[in-house]
Amino acid sequence: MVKLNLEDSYHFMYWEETKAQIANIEAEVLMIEAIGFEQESIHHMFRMAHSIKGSAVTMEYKELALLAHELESLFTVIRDGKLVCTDEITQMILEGVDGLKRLLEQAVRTGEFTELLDDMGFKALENRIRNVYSKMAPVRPSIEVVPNYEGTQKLHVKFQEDLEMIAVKVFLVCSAVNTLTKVIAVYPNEFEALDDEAFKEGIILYVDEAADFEAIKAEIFTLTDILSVNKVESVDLSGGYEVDESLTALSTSQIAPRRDFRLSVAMDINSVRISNQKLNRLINLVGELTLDKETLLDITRQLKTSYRRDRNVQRLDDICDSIALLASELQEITLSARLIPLSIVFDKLPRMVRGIAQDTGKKIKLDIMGGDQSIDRSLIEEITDPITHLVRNAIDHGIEPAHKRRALGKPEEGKVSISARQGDSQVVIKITDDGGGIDISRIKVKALTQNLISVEEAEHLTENEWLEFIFKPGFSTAAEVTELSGRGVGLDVVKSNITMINGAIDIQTTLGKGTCFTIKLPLTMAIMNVLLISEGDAIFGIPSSQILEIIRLDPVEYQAICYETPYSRMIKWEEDMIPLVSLQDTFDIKSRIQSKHRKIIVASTVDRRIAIEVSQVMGEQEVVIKSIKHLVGADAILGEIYEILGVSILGNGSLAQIIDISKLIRF
Amino acid sequence: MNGVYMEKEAYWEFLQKQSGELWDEADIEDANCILAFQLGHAFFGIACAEIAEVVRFKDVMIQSVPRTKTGVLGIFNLRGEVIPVVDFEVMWNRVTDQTMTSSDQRRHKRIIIINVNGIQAGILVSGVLGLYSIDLSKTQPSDCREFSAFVYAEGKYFKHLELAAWL
Repeated sequence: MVKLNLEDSYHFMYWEETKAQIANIEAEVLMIEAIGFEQESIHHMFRMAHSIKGSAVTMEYKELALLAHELESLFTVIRDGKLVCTDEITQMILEGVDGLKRLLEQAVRTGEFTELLDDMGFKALENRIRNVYSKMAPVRPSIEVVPNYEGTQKLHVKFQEDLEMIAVKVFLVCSAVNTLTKVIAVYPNEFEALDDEAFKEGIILYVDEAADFEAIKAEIFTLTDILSVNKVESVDLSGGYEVDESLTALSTSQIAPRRDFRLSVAMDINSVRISNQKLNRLINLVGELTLDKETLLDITRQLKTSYRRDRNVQRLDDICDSIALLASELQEITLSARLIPLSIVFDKLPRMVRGIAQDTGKKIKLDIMGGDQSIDRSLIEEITDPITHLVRNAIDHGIEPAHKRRALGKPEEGKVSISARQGDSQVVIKITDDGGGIDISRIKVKALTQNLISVEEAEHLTENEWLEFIFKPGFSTAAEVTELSGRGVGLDVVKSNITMINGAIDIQTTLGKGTCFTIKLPLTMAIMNVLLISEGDAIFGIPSSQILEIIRLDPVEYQAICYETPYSRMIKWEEDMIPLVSLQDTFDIKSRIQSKHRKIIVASTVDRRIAIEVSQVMGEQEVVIKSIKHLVGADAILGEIYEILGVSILGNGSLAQIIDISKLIRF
Repeated sequence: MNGVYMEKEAYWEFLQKQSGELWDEADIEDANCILAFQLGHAFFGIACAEIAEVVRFKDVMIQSVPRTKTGVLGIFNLRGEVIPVVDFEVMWNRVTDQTMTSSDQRRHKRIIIINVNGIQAGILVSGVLGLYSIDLSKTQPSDCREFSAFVYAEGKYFKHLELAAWL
């Protein structure tokens, strides 16, 4: 048995696929629990378990395959309607899923399963599963009738006596034979779900009668545990099969083509995995392509002026347009590949909530919204732990036990909700519970007794400032320390994790009603519509979502609405007076464009409005905003500039500096 | 301390020849290797390990960034990366009348892309001389604030620029 090496691409693929398949089973079970049983679910689960088993066999992870096999058998009886999927059963399936996860982890860690197997839990689990489904195993007829197909030769393959999991071996035999000649049929059919018992007498393979028997035999024998391979005219197996000649009417063409025996990994995931390095390289190359495309366009333009009549120049022109479109679409797509939907994080929550709810004996309903909000992949890792911890907290400390809720007149089921949406230049994630809220007076007591603050200072703190104490290391007002939280270690780590990615977190709470944690993350990379403005040699952008109106005024109109004082300028817009700033002046740029007409952009952030005068409006474009945080700051290269929240790369390769309106409002 | 003076024509010719050269990977790996360049009148060197690449000044479009520190020319796009460009002559207040503004001189200007503390930045220089191996025995310390030592290579002394101190 081999330790799974994630660096190796083949191993990695196996690991990825198996992980996904396990996750699929888990998701289906949770769905069954939540909304009821569906035949489609069990089919899906069966396919997943089957795939896990098959690939585990090729990787020689016998124990993994065995557990998957047990689950698969269980799914079979459920699928065939012989077993009802009760809560008990779903619980067992989840334990099975956990077992698979642990085994997979172990494969990565050491590749040796012996220590895990010594853990009685595994064997017990497998036995329990087996006990359940074996009572429901399909009844086998005592005499098997083997069909006969015209134009085929029959190969009888027998296996070594003590071979286990023969179904898998049959699969491998078929795969092997398929490399030489097509396996037209197998007897018994539907062998995947059969017990080893069913293969006592071996199997019959039907192949084209013109196929080379010796070659096929040799091929089968390359596998292990094969006892014999014989060509049979009439199948005469003592105590076993009989050939039914009356079925000869079935010619090969009427046989439904046996499905492809490739180790198909029925993936229900519509995505591929790509290393960050490759992705970045891809993005950079696409950028380079864009630049060259621009040069090409430029040259073509020049050629057109001199050789407009030349047919080839015209063809070149057309092709260039086409290339330009392709390149810019390519760029857009590769850049958006860096964004990952938050559902990756949110999808893990139902299972966790279920577990904690059970452990604490509380009834919890989890609401998830906005899973398709995407954030840059570099942030996904960092945000997972904080979110998980906050949800845990909400259940553990926020939601009161059922009896208390009843006494308070609240619904017994506690509600925890998590939502994500895109704000101004941020992603806002909210975790809310309708529990008991945070008791500020307890914070006050704790803070004073721990000497975190003096009595005098305590007089002047606002409610929000008191709430901030929760984020201090070691601070916890939980009466008891539970296994999950309450040690006071959690929230400070949550906060530091968030600040590390330039995010912010704050709390709102109402005693008796509930609590809401709000996490704000900067858009490291986000796609936005921006209005492009040219000023001097620079191009700026203002997020379209913040623009109220663009006005173009001739000198007379301008005079009519503008009010100047020695200190500032204002304009009258829709019955309001709004401060007017000039981008040129604010940024100290000399613009070469002098025009009679003034262009003013009326923009707003949360509650303030501002009018910005610009030299030239270029148009609206959808761009990806890159953060330049690493270049900005007191000690950083560009120094302290806070008006620019990011930089975008435009289709023609030039840069656009995206303005943070709220910072302009200061002026 | 200024470097060696050459006759103007010969010097330009020299720079031209140099800028077209391809460098050997092996040279760059060498810890005693510096990239020698000229800034105004003076000659400088940077440790090869810190260098990512060199681009022609006339090939890039640098956009000014409002309200940055003195000496920062602006930013430009290098295959998808936003690179800030610094002109040390402006930063150290040593703009001389020899500072290159004529289009002839612009041809020779280069931007050296360096990698410092994980951040990429560009340094505008008058011209790049090439990769040189330094003779460690002849290195002399300096107490001038702009660079850490005088290193010796190819018959001349170069000032060794300590980038981390500046960026």
